[in-house]
Amino acid sequence: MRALLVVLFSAVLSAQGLPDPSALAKAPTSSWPTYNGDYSGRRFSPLKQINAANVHQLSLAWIHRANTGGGGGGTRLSATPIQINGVLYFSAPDHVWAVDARTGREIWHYTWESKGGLHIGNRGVAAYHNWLYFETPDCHLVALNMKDGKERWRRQICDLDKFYFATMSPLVIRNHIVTGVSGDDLDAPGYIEAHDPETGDLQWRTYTVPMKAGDPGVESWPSLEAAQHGGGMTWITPTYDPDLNLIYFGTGNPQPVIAAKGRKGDNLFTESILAVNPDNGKMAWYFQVSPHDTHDWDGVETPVLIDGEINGQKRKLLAQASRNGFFFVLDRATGKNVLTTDFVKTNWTSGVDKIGRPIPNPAKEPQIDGALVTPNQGGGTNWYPPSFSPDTGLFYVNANRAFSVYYIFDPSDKPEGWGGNDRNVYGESMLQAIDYKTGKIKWSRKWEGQGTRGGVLSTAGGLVFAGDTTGNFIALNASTGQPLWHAGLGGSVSNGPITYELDGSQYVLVSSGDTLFSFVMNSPVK
Amino acid sequence: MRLLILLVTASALAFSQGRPQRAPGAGVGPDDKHIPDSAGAERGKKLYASECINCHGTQARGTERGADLIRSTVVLKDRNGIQIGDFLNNNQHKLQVTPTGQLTRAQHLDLAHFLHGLVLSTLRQTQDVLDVLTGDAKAGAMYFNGEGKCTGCHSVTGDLKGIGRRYEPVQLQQRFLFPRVSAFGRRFGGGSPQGKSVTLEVTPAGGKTVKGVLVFIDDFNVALRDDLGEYQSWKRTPSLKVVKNDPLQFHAEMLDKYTDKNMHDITAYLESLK
Repeated sequence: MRALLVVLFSAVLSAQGLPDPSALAKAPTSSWPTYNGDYSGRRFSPLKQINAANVHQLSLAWIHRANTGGGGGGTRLSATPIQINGVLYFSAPDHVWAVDARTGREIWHYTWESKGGLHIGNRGVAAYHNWLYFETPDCHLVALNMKDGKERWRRQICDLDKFYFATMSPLVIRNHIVTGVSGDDLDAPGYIEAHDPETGDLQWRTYTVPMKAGDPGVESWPSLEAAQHGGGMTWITPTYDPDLNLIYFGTGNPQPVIAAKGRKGDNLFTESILAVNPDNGKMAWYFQVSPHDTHDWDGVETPVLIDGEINGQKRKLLAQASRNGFFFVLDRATGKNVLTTDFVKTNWTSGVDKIGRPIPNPAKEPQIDGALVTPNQGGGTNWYPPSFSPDTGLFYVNANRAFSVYYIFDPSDKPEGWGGNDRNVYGESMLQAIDYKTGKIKWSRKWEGQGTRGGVLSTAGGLVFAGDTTGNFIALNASTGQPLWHAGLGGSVSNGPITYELDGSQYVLVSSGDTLFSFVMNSPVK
Repeated sequence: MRLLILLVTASALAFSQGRPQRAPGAGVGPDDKHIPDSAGAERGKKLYASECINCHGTQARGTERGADLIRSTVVLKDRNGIQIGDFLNNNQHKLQVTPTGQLTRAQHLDLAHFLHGLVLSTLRQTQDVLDVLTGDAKAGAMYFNGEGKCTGCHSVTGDLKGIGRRYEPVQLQQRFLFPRVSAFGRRFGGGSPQGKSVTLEVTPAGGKTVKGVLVFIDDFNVALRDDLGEYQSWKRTPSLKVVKNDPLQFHAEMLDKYTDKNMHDITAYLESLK
């Protein structure tokens, strides 16, 4: 069966990086061709050469230090690499590399000449036929030749003068390159776009806030002007269900971020999960995870697609561990809520409403003299990708339980931009394993120290790979959370780990700071 | 007068005291964005007050008579007052005093300094806490001596004597909540330890217990500096007994118990301890 899968995926990838939508509904083995490995966002690999019984033998294959041209180092790799035909492609702000997946040797390096934008991170590249696509901090979508890294074209996707920037790893669906935008400095509207992979031309743009009178959701803002400047950025790569032909993505915080006197209402469709047709950008449904947020809790965390069973019924589900500390399970065909529960203890709600949304407690909105709130602004989790194992039925997410005091700095009637902020007080971090059927924590591995920022990978080998707070990359028993193997990376995990099989050996890759580490289960030398 | 106060407040917000400031707008937006000059912004503020304020409002955020200039594409795309000046001239934009089109290039530049300064003053790191002293010091004292159990470790005639003189109120608020974190900045856990140290008791199988100050601990290794100043480390195994003593654990546990009123009352009480 595994051999069949390998053949199948070799065929799928025979035209270089052309992902077949139907094939990418399942996890690959010999490649990692998209940000999440496949379209589901599960980051679950069917590979089991490395497993709970032998993971203690996992050893270093190579390391690659990303050289941005200034003598090496200095950048942070938060990108999930993609691996196609034995070559890894990954990015940092203004940089893309191709590296031999067997040796870690650089094949080519592309540098973008930047005109600005926040260089907070770049989550990766996307592949289509012989082309790669990535976003730049100064608001461009750039197409490169996979063979040599030569630029094919560039297209502006946002307005740098309005302090947008771009971080998302694009998503390829047939002939659509789906892109998102970032930024929460000035009050600008969020949107998601699709571009022609050959020309870069815009195919459609869908705003995440109402932009004209009569638009859906406009009644959730005090004025059209407030909605038009209402934020809702699209930071993180969507997931995709080929059967339903819907992409799923979360939206960012409403603007102004903290001081919200000028945006009373739910502020749709900020901090919502949206289902959108990739052919025309039309919204099929939405579910708002944080109505009228005032804590910068972007609801953009990966919506993970689960083909599961609830009360004996097979269901097409979607799950998100959201930055606001709540875990949501939705029916991904309709957007109807299946369950809502917190995955870290929170103190900002007065309950959950009848459609499954947390009800914000007004007393826990930022105050001039401070409000003690948990989670803090960093959130119960953040952009780093979670994982779901269909073998265990558990959703794994690196989580933080942290407190901060939220303040209003600008008490005027029409604050703009931020108008407040939080100050961190205390926190602790842990890896949570959540039962998607109940929302209950099956096991929790508390880390020593505070502040995890790394993604998670699960495998059919009964393993979960994750980083702790002290610079370790750890393999844990997926059913119990017991650590089985670790390697000290010298710094915290900074991306989402991946795995694939090459030449009969399973590799696991992870980055920390400016360095990519490759681990392998070595076979006896013949 | 209120107009003046609001204008002054807007400027003051951008350069508030008491915490590390980065240059407003550093790292965001275009590299060639307009960086306001403070003297020019001061002249621009006066010009704005005489020519623009009636329509665009005290903080340039718009009124029923005029657009929001902080969110204005013309302003955001302006460099050195050129686009602002062109807009005023080309659109025959009516000013309060000066005849249309009669502002000089230098005045356009001053207006640009002022408006760009206001734009940057709305960013994440450019404003600061206003006033946290809203609590009831007497209620704070009652909580301190009673339900809060603070006297189990602290004394207002001992370690906390005169603490109201040593820290700003906002620092007091954050330090009493959890003393080990830096009072300022977003970095979570990034501050150097400011409170009592975490100590360890490590007992190897069949060996003596070693006590010392925590240097490092994770799931796999542990290290301390003992009473003689020696660094010692161990691999963590099932037979290695490790006991961690965090003197601030009680502070962490109390975070789930404080109400916001408790927080404000205690802050007021601590601030009164001069």
